[in-house]
Amino acid sequence: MDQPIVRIQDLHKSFGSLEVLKGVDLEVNKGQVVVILGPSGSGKSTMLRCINRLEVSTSGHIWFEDQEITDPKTNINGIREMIGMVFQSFNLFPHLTAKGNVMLAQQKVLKRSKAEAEKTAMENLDLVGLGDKIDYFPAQLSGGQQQRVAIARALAMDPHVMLFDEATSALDPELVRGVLDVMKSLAKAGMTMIVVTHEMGFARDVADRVVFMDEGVVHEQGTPEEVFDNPQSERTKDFLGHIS
Amino acid sequence: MTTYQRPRVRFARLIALALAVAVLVPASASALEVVQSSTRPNGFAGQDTYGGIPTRLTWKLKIDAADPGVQSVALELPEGTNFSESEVIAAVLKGVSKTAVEPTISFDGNTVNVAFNESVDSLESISYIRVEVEDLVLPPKGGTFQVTGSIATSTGAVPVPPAKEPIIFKEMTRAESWIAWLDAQPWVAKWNSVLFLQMFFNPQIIIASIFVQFKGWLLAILLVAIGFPVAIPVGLLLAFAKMSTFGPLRWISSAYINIVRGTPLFLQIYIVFFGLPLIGIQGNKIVLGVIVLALNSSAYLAEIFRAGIQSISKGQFEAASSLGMSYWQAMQHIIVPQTVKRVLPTMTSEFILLYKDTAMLSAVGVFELMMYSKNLSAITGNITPYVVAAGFYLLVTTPLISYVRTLETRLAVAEGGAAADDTKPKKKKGTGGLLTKDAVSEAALVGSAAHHESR
Repeated sequence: MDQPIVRIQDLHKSFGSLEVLKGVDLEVNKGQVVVILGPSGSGKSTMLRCINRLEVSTSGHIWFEDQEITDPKTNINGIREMIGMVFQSFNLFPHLTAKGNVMLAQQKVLKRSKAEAEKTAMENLDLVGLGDKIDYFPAQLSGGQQQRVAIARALAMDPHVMLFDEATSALDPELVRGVLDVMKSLAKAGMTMIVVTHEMGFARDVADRVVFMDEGVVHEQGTPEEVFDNPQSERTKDFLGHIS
Repeated sequence: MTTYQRPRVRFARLIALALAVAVLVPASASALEVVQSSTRPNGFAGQDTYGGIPTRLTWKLKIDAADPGVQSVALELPEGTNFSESEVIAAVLKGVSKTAVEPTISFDGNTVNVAFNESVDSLESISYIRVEVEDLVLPPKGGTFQVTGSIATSTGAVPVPPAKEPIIFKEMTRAESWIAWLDAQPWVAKWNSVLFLQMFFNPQIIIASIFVQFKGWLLAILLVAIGFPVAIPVGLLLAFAKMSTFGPLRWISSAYINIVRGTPLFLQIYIVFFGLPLIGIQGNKIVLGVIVLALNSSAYLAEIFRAGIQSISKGQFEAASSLGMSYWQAMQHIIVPQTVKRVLPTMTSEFILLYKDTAMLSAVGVFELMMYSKNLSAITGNITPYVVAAGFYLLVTTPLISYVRTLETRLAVAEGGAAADDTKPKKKKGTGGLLTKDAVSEAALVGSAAHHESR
């Protein structure tokens, strides 16, 4: 359980003259649920997006298992299929049904047969509680349902780690719960997860470790109890005070 | 006037001819010669004479000095020729002057008799007898004939000599007979008495135009039906080239698109039609026409495709990437299918524009719809052929325009998620609000961008 699956070392990222990440260090072990907290603009999402190279880092290193993501020679598509990602805006493929969304990459990337892809799709849609919505198009689903399809789509690739980028931020409050429930059950099943969120309740209940980021660096990290009940830095206290 | 420049030669020849005639043929024989025997074209276009509708026969007999005087002629026309509306004008021409004669005219079945008060001869110079039969109607079936009959001379009757060329007349086509029917209708005459109606909506010319221009219409459709499908893959390549990260590819594509969109199609037609043959690329006009239309349209389509592809939210590409899909896999399975749906209305509009642009090919002699209209308008001196051409263009564009509207509505519904009608599952409002609004405005952007490109 203690071997790191994702290791980030002195990660820097600038957009033009704006430096968003100023040297982030982070390790995530297999089976761990790491929740990343921080005010907006603190670089949480950018860091997450660097892990599967949706953003190319300016300097520093990221290792995924034994491969270095930040090495330009790495075949990034091969790694991406092992890193599931869930976006704030769902990003379902609108021209495909729920089932089609979950099947496509299985067939094209993992080269699974149609029957196999379909079976996996059904299993994962059942898992997120949408077994009865497989033939619906995204536009016919609620935001919460769409996000659960997006989770099923990522899970169908049998990822080694799942990245959640503010997965519930675009949802109406009454729909957040269904998505969080799915995420909780995933955590219980032993999935390695890196979760950027503002859901403090989720962080407290599910996280093995809470990381507080601000101004492009990791300010503080520890168990939920340590960070929430006994924050060390003023900045963390201030942030948590504002939230709750 | 060669005969006047070389009178001696002419004179010598005449003597030789006279001697030969004197030796070879009996004295009663005549050298009477029919120098003209023809009918006036009576179709709505072209040089053909048709049976069943009025025409005019012109028949001209030459009488030489050696010939005996002519007292009367009986001209026999084909069986079934109708003279009921006919009027005959006969004239005697001596040299360049016309002699007033008052011949007696009578009809006898299919024969016209023209009897002169005094014998027409040619003592001083060559004489001609010209008979014009107005408004005779040849048999509807069509055929070929020589005017036969007999000529009464002072030395006895001789048969009418045949003309050099027989008269050919044709059976009326369906268009001709419809026009002939219209010609006979009082309401048509009344309609055409209004100048505006006569010049713009002439019933006879409408019929004629429909028949004549139909072929041109088919060619216009053919030109765009081949040119447009060719332009699609070229446009797609140009669009990808313009979005390429490889500089030179991007520059070439941009330059091409800018040049084509920045110059008139008319100019491009001239360059292709006059330029390609000069560098050894021969091709018939239809092939050249297809080439220039495809080249032109590909530039517009490239911009439509590029705008369409770029209107797909970045998140789509990121989602595909996060699943391990390559750039081209994402393009093929995610981006392009969504783009096609979005650009379909704009593409259809571009098709409509291109179809209308085929008219410009008339400037270089491609016989498409506009060319036929121009010719027919020139022949008839009437605007009606253009009005009919407008009808032909609208026949294609009107349904397409309403198709574009349907596509746009469908697209707005699909992207707006407003598909939540009775048959579909209930859509919970507000949840996807942000997203759907974006999608609609993006779709509208693609649409409007391309509409501004219309030329």
